[in-house]
Amino acid sequence: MTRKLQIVYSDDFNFSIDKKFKRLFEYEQDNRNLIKQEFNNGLISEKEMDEKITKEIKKLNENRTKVNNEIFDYLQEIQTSESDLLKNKDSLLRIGLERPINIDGLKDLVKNVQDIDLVAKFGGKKLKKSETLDAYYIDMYFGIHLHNILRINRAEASRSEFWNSLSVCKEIKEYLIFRNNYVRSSVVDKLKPNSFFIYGQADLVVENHLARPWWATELSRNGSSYESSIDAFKQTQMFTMRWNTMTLIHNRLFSLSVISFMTNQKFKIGIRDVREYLGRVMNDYAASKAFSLDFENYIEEDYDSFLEWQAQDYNPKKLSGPNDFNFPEKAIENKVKILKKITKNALDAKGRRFL
Amino acid sequence: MGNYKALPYSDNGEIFVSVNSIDNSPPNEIQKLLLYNDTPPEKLISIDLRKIQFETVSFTITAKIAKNKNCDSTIVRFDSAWTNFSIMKSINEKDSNETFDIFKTDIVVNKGNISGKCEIRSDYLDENGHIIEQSKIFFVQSDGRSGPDFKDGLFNWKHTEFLIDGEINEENNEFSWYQEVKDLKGLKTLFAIELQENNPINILINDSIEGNIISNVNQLSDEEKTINNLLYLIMGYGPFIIEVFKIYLFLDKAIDASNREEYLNDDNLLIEDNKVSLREKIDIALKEAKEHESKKMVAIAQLLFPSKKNSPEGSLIYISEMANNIKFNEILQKATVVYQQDLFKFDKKISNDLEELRGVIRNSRNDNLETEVDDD
Repeated sequence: MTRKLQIVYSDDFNFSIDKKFKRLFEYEQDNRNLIKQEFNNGLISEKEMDEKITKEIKKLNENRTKVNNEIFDYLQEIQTSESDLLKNKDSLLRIGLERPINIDGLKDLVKNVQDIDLVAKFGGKKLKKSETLDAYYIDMYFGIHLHNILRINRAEASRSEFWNSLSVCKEIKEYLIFRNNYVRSSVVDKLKPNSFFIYGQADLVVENHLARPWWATELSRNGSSYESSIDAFKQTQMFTMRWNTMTLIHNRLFSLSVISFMTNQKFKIGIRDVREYLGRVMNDYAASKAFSLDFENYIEEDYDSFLEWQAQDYNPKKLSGPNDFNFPEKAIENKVKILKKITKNALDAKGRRFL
Repeated sequence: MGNYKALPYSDNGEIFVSVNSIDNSPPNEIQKLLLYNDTPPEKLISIDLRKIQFETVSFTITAKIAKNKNCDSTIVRFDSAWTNFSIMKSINEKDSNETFDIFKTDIVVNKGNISGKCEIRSDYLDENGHIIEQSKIFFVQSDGRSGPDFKDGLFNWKHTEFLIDGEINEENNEFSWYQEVKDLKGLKTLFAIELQENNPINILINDSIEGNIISNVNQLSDEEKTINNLLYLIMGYGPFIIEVFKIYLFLDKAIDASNREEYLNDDNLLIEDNKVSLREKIDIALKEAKEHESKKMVAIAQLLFPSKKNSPEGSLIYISEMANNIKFNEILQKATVVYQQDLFKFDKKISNDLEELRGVIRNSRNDNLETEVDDD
């Protein structure tokens, strides 16, 4: 028997994830900049500054660890009762979540995504001994597999009720704690409520650790192929946080072309700067008629193929998305040439050439 | 290399949208009635897909522009912000008559790709590819996700009878608004309103007034529809102004919760250096408000202060200047224009019909006069 996602939507539940949960995110002030300022103003010596900063980091880490643990504890303790569930068909229909969503694969996914070697292999990376894996590989593995497990459409994926119901599934709570703990720097990170739950439209593609990798996958797949999604995730936050809020990335052909361009092009300046500044160049280009002719964004998608894919079960050994559209490699190559030409004539914010 | 900035094109290009097919079949008569309510295509400013069952829908989009603008091509855009879904289609072929160039195309949209209020608009380009005109936005409401909108979001329109056969309507007795109507002897008024915490204002249309708004517009003549629209225009104005006051009260409360002197000077004007910081405070207060309420407040503020929409401090904080005498006048003056222009869309809904309506009245009066003369 397959397991279906239960949609949780009640005033009690909303109150607990909104008002109560958000109140936990109260961290002590970070005074490191003030200490540096004291040094810059000649009020303390360098040695004193270093000592003060070490002390400040210790204090911050203690506070942040304590707050983060309280957040994780609260998340673990969220229980939903029968009265929190939305079962009435009309109510589900009203929010577009009337279709049963199979979540059978979640348990295996959450187990596998914590196997760093497996995740690295999926992303085509050979992990050296004692090497840590960047968080975007975790998002890549999780996002693509989640896309394949849930088999939801964009309308369903735009509902906060859907993602917030998913967040309180037992295995997903485990994942959220794992993911929020994953990035470890010398100072413990402050967490954000919208990493766990959706509170607004921007959380869908920018902040939430469940919805964001799903949307990054959806906005970068080429029909049934997730290869372009793998490439997109490798550009770190470029296609998972920054660019996905831009309307031009909603143009499928442009999205696939710019992913291919970023993946295969050698740049004269550092890749971080390319990711930082190329968006502006592309935005300017998007405001021209040339863009609308070069990247006319209209294909009649094969909805029947999408429905066919939805009806099939998740198979982690054969990951394939819906065959609802496809842009041939040649078409993408031609568009990459256009992007190259545009980039060649452009300068970054520091006046340097990209190519 | 700067960011793209929108140039101030006028939005006089016309756009007409109709449903060409629903799940590959042309819409039947009932579906047409549900979608258009007998409104002629040139009067339609939105389509509500919630009224029909569909999996895929095909729209025919017609973009029309005055011939003397020398338009060479158009770009039709469909955007569903919630689902990050967009379509951008160039139309290079046109039909022309003496006064207009007409560009036509079809687009197909799957239900699973859209949510909330979607937008269709058209850009009109000259032969050099420069935008010379834009169309107004045509809205497609795709599902139950509601947004601030004059007819289906900002206010609730309810029909009721203040009097039944000249007597008190007992069914309304339980409502406080009805008590007020009775106390003030206003049973023969056009409408009443009911204000509710965290919910849209109810506008209660008094059906016991003969000729008041008729909800079933299918059988109405164009002139009668114009009267309907004029009545909507009248009834919505007061509640809109109330919404503006409610925003002011919300902001005032939020500012009081902080250090008031930090944000407003003695004249109740915003302190320039602290505007962004105030926005941050207000954003926190907005998060505490109901989603519908916070969206509504931001949307109205953006209509009142469009030039501040993308500024770091945003539009909303400017309503907090209402306590200043001069700003109070300015804001209410703005609200009066915005209500007609952006909320009600007077230009689209009524503008040209007024003269037609007067023409009908004049002609009918002349007919009567002629009849009277004949009788003599």
